[in-house]
Amino acid sequence: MYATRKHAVYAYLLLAPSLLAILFVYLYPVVKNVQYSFSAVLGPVTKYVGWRNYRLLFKSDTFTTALLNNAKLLLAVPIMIFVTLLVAVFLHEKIRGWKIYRTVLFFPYILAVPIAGIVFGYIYQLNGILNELLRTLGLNALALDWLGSPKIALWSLMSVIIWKEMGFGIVLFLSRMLTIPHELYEAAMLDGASWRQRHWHVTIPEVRQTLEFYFTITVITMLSGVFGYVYVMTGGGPGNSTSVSELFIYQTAFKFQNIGMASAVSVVLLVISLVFVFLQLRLRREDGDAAR
Amino acid sequence: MQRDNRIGWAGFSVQQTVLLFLTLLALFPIYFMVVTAFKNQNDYISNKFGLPSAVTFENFRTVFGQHNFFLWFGNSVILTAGSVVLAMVLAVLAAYAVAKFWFPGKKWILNIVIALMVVPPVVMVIPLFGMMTKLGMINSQGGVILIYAGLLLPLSIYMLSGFFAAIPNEMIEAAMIDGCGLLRMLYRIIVPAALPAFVTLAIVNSVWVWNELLISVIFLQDDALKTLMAGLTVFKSKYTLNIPVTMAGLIISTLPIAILYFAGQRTFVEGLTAGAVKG
Amino acid sequence: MWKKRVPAFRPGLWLSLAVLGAALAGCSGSKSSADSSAGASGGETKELTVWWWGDQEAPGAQAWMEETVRKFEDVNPGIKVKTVLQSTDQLVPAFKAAAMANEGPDIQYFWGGVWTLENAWNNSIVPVSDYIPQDELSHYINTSERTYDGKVWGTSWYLSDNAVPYRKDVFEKAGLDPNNPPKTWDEFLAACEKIKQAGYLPLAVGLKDGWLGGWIWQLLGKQNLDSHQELLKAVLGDADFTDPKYSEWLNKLTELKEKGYINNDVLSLDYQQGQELFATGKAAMVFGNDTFFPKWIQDIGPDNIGIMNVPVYGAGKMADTVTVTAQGFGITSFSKHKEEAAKFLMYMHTPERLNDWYAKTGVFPADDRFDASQISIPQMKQMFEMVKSKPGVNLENFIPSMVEEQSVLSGVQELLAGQKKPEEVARLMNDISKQWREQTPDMVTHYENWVK
Repeated sequence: MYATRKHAVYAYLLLAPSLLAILFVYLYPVVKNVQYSFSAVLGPVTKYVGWRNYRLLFKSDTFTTALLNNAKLLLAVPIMIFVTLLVAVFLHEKIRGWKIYRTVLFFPYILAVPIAGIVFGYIYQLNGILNELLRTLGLNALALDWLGSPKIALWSLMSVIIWKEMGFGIVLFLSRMLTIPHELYEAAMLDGASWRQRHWHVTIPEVRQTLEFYFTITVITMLSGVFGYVYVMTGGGPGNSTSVSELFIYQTAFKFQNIGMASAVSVVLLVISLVFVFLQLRLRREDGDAAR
Repeated sequence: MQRDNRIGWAGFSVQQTVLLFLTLLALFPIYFMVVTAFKNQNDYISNKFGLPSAVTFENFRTVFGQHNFFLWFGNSVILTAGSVVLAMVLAVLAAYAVAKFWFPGKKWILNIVIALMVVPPVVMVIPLFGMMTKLGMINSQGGVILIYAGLLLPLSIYMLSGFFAAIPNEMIEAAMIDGCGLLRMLYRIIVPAALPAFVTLAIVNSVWVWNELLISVIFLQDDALKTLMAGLTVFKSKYTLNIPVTMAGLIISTLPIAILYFAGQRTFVEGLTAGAVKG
Repeated sequence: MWKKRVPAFRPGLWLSLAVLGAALAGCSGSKSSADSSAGASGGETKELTVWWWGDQEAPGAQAWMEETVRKFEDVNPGIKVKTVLQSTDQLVPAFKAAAMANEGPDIQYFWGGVWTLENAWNNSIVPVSDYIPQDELSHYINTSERTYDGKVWGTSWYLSDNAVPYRKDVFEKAGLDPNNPPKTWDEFLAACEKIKQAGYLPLAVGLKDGWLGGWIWQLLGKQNLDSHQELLKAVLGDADFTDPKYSEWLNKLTELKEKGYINNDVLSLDYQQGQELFATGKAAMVFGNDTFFPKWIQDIGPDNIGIMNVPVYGAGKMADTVTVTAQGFGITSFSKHKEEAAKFLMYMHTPERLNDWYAKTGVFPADDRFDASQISIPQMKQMFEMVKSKPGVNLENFIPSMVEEQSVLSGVQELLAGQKKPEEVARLMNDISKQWREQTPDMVTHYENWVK
């Protein structure tokens, strides 16, 4: 690692353009949001109102429901980690046809969210093809109103998110696994380790950092990266059953023109995310090295 | 990793079954999309699952005839190419700095950058809109490219720096002794060494920008500047009762990114297997 | 080993990056200056930008708009008009974003009532009555919805009126007299039962995208009210939504659901898909809007379709009125060409344009100078008579969007999903109104002025 003063200046120069862009795109809006959250914005005029927006926010059932829905979506995280890891392990074993599987399984990831949303919107209709299929198979009881029933709409939505996002995890883990030295596995096999032991003691520890990364990414997605899905598939309905924080911000700011309130929600979301990341960093071991 | 024959047929069958099942799940909606696009309306209503009784291209013709479709398409291409290239260029420089240099304030900067990855774009939109207006950059593709690039940076820097750090310093020193300039070294040594990460990141970033709906809808309101995704929502509400046409539109919208993906596959595979050999 | 030579600092690299950055800034800058120069230059061509909606509701509007622009530009060589059709979801957000930035179109399409006036309260639009003479304005229908503080804040463009179209062929199959549709709620229920027995769906409803919930409310929920002021009172907290006067409609809706007169996939079909059940003959009736009627009459056949008023159950003065909504335009406060904007708006009301509008869309223009003898289709003649004889306002234009979205649209969905009972939805309307009052006290003041 280069660490002289001359190196430091050099490093700053390399970082400068990126930092400028980040300042412009991230920091300025965050600061502005904080400012707005303490105000009422009436057209071009901004009026200071103290904590009013925050107070009213937590009294709003619509908001707490939205936040709760984000929390429910977090249940997708363990599912995604488990499935993607498992699939990556299978593919890593160069099972017959693994290249095809890998190509196909990654494909949903590259589909645009609106596209996935529209297609699944049709598939999940009460009289759509999924139910038609179930009914032809005689499974009428399973032909539910996937997106129209407040009880299951959120889970149906989650299934679409998982369907689409899985590919990324699979490829990510697989890439990492391919750099694991063979010798480790050979040693394990020489010791008579079973399939499960091999992976538990070799593969998993080796991909630990990737796992942490993926965990973080997925949690962040569930908190603040699902707007597209909700917007296209349900609009937050039926009722509020699929409303999420991002949708709430969007509607409050652009439909009800309550910028102050919307900014308050943004700040709350931001704080939650930061707390999460902070905890995460704390729990991680320090490597004393680069951006790990 | 070599296939381990000690798992036996049972183990293989389980693996194959699981993978097959997941593949079917992954493919089914896509199958539905493709098959429906080639049916006409009546064919679709009477037979939702199966293959078209008579393959027709009229849906695609309708889509191409759609006012402004190609324009939207072109807009998406411009925005994706522009912002991904810009982001990758900046990120490579920054990631190199982060991976190989120490400088005062490094930890702070890193933590903030990582923390910023969690901020949802919807949060940025309102203040950014105000700022962009003052700068006169609403309905400006350049402005949106800047925004997208900025949004892609934290993740890109994070990912690349991790992979860059794994590159042994000896390689870099050897290159420098040979009189390598910064640019050449980045191109010849560093990026190729982290190629799988680089390609993956490029694809991930392109997919993100291509998909993006919220920002493009708010910052590019002019009909002629809309991206494909934004245009799709208009298209869908117009054709909401004609599902085959809608599907045709969706397929055309996906084609470029699908092509990019399949083309990038090779570098993908090379990169991945190169990594395997080294490891 | 720290003291290593750093790779050569290549000026070329930084220079090219700087150029790239400058180019980006430059091209965006020049784009905006191109935009503003078109607008700001006094002597040369003035460009008007119009953001509008309506082709979705009145198919044919786009063709009319294009021709209007062409003819207007011919008659006014110094003015160029650019029109942008917004999608339904983006109509309001796009304008609110523009208003915040104080930059955007010269003319904006607005629904009536609060949809127009909230922009007046936020100083995003100017009164059209400042630019259009009173004798002209007096011919525009329903300017009362856009009046506040003695000024008129928007022009009217076309009328969107509600009624219940019914399929005569299905009526006949159910043993009902196709020329004598039900008028009262009880007659309506009886008819529904017969239709259901005959194997058809009585009423088609699509609620996935929420909008229809608002219609159902304004058509059924107004029936116990005497005037829209009574609604405003409840929004302001001076009346209670759980009072049957304000909530009986929820019971009526539940009744329809429980008796099986509504399709079971109501929550997984969006509005248009719901209407489609009617268009394809699976359903007998649908809550309709006369902007769609011409197309249906053509598709279904003039002998097969009839028009009836919404069945009456209520006791208020508004019970048997026909909801007449005038959609229209406003002039933005940040427009640099307000006079020209007003000119364009007035041009839309010239007799030739009014007749052309009807010819292209089959929708009534909102001008009392419209020559009704143009209407040839019997059902539309009947509709026009209904509109002229007993017009009433659309309650959706008087409720704050937050209250409608979070209590009416959301509540109707939950009601039909079986998740909430009528009283709970009514209570929700109270709660959200209260939250609205707390969150936007400035709006409350305006509403109080408005009620007077």
